[in-house]
Amino acid sequence: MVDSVAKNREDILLEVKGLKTYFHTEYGVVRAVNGVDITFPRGKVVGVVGESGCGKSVTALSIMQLVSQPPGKIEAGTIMYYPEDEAPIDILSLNPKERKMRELRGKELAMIFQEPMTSLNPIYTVGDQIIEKVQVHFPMDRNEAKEYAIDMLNKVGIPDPAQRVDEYPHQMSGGMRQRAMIAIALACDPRFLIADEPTTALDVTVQAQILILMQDLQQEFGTSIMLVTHDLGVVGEMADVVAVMYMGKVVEYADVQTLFYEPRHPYTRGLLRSIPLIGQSGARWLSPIEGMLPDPYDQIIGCSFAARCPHRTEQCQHETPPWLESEDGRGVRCWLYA
Amino acid sequence: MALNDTSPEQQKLQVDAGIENETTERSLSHWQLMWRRFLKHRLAVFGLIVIIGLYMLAIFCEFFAPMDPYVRYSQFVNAPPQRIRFVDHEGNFSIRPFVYGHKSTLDMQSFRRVYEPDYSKRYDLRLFTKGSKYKLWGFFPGSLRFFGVEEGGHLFLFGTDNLGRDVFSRIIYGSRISLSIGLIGVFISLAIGMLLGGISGLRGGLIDELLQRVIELLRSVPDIPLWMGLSAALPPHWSPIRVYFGITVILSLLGWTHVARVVRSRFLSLRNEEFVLAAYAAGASEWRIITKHLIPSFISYVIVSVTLSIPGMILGETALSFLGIGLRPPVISWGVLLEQAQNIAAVNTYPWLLTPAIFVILTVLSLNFVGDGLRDAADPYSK
Amino acid sequence: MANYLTKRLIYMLITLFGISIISFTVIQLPPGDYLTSYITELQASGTVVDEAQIASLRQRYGLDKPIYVQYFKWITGIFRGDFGRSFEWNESVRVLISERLPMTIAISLLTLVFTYVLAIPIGIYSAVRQYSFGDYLAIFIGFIGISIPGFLLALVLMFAFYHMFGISIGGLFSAAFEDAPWSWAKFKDLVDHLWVPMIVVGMSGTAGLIRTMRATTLDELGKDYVKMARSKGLPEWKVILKHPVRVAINPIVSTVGWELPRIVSGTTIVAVVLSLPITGPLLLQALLSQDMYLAGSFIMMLSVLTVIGTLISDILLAVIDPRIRLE
Repeated sequence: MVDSVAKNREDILLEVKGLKTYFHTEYGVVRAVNGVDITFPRGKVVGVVGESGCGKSVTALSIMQLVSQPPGKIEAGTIMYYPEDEAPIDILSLNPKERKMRELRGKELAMIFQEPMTSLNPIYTVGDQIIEKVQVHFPMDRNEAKEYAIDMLNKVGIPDPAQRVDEYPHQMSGGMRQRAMIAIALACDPRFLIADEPTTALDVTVQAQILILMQDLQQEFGTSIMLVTHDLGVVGEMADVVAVMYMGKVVEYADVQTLFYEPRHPYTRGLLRSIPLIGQSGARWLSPIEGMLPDPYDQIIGCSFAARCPHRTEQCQHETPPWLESEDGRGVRCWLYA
Repeated sequence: MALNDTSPEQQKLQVDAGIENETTERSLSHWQLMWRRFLKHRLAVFGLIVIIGLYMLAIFCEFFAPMDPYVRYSQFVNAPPQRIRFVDHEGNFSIRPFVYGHKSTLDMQSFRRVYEPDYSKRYDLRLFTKGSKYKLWGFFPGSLRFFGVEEGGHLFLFGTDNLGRDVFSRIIYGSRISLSIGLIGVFISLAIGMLLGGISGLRGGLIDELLQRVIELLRSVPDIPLWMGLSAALPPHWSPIRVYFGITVILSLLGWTHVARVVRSRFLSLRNEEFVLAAYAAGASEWRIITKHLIPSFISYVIVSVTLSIPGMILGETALSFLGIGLRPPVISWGVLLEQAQNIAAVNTYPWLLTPAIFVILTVLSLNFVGDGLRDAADPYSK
Repeated sequence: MANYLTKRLIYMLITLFGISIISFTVIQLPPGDYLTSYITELQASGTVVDEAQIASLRQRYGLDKPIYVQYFKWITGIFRGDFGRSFEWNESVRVLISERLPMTIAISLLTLVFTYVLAIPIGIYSAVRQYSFGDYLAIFIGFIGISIPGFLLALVLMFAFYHMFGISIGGLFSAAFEDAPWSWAKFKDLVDHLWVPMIVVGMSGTAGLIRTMRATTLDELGKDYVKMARSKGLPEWKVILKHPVRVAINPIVSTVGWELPRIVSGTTIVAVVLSLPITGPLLLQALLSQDMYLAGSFIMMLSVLTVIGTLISDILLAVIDPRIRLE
């Protein structure tokens, strides 16, 4: 049942361990990512879910080494990347501005951003924005790169790609823009794709189209995807494995079936109870999670979810729960299972 | 444009609890916040202190000026500044600062007076001394001065001009005209700008279009040539006070466009904001919405814009008077004082004629610091 | 684009109309009319003016007609190249203007170029290296620059050079070349003199532009498309120059039109201080002696200059910004 979770070293593409990314603001330190471990198996979709501010996007940006510093700073951790036939690389050991990191970015690791409107440069054509990337990584002249760009636009389902390639972002609809962004991300065949809330800014109907597109492309290219979202429906649809984050930490990691049917962490259970399910009898009410997120500037002692947890004990309020991993690869961070 | 630019929030399986980064700033009002952010801007605080100081000088110039600015010391024409001393010519130290009087001889080659300290005439500097009589604001007679030398002595900190008048005291008197012209001009601009910008932003349509054209027209006319043209047309027989107001009006004629633009664009963008729509939906009257919701939400922008346009006004007056087509003697303003510095040969021989420029620059610099600090404080996100 | 440009052109015509009215007002403002001044002038020079002559002149200039007829006569005259007469110089205004205006345009344009060439790189540097020593230096110089008015800077520079080196930095030519015909040596002499007005007039504009360029670049630097460009693996300098800087330049270009009135204004007064043979001193003199046709025409031509500049900057903006071009 838990076959999606990587059991062997060869199955792992990317492994985040002990990642800490802090933001040093004028009001204090925000520990946005505070010790995150996530394993990304080869060729799978890993959904990373959590409320806004839980650190999921910052984790994604840390993998790309795109956290703006200052104020952000990656304080600790390793991000091991295992290319198919090369030595493993610790991404965090590379200088974010130097050649090696730039070669990884775009060629091996790519990213789709949340807002297609603001993530595309308004003054360049969509084609230019693909060509620009292709020419960094492939020895192509402009015409070849443009052919490639048209081909990419075709693959992401943009009609009339030969014409659309010369259009500017503001001439396209939101859905088309997101497709164009996916085309940019998938250009140069990256092995690992980060999709940061790829459908949040889109209409519901367009959302479904984009999700199906991403699924198809994932199958075609065999790309591993890190799907960052706050939308459990999208996770259920797309992901093979799910990591649930809360206050800068992963609190539960399991394959999607297990997570949905046997959630362990009280937070995960709370999340699942707050989703309306069609076809369910009126016997079960939607129940929101009690309480509020703690202040991001506070440093919390004990379990960060303790204040909102229905099962909290004395211990939860004083000691940080350990990461408990079972044989089958699933993990949870909760004293209930210690 | 695409319909799906906005994200529909309904029907989504949202986990989002929607917290905002409210922290310690939660309980403070908008103005308190603005003031706190302003205080962090060190140069702005420095500027504010300087500006307050300069306006105090301007308001109480009769009290702060050590000498009468109109009195001509004919035996001390074009005299250089006197040095403030603590040690006399025999090397004795004195805790009380003092100056030596001037004595002059005529240089027979250049036919210019040459000044030397006259060691026999020592004038002690005193705080709150009694000087020549004046009328504060033209009404209240007095003779108390902030500092000066005893009656009969003379104190020329910045030297004297070609009629033997004390430049330092003239600068202090000049600040009253120069600084107030900026302030009054800005108030006129503010009134016109708020009114026209507000109408234009609220009503839109033809009025807005018309106003836009007028603003565009006024902004494309180079201000100094137009100011020159208009102020040269002020009748020469006008009294100084009428010329003063005439110049103020001329300066505001172009100045209001900035305020109008700010107000208009704020109104336009706020008109469709949700909190305004909510107020309309709640049945609030338009006047109430404007005064209770709209104006408070952009007043800080207007303050910033106004602060930043005072220097332009002050410089406008200075420039016009400097050219000899603004205020004219016997009125004292910094521009009038600088007119004497037009002749470079004179400046070379009597460099202290340039001292009013230091005050002009200090004022403008400080106002710019304050305006910048206010801008950052009013809108921390618009760096 | 055609729509946009047509609109701009129509606006320009409206603005030009407004400018002509403002200039005509300036001409009409002083008490008395052109003819009273002219007659005083003639009488002063000892010429006897008889009534019939006055009446015919009055008719010729339409001074017996209502004000809008006078305006119409004046404006149609301008279209034929007749700007009226300067009684002080006893010369047609057109001749006086065409003597002075080209050099005014040249100095203004040079200053404009100087301003932009200096301000844009400094602004970019300041934004990319925010809070570095260089950034603080640029901010400080910027504050000084916008706070020292050109004419005071000119005055101080004149004084400093005169005092220290005993040379006068005023004027555009050395005495030897003042009336000489154009030659390479005269051109070189001009260049030697030109840097003073350029720096003096350009100073405040440069300072302002550095601030704007810094602010807009900072704004753009924070946007998602910059992260996106980095995520493609572009070298950092290429990310900066191709993306945020390229976008931030657009509003800067669109304000060329607003910069021009400032520069023309600045040159007018600085020219008086530095006694440059351009419009400024002549305008001042015309105003002081109530030579109103000359003064009004100067004000109008200087404004027309800036309006044309605005139109050019609008066109430029349309060329470089697809969001406007494809509207």
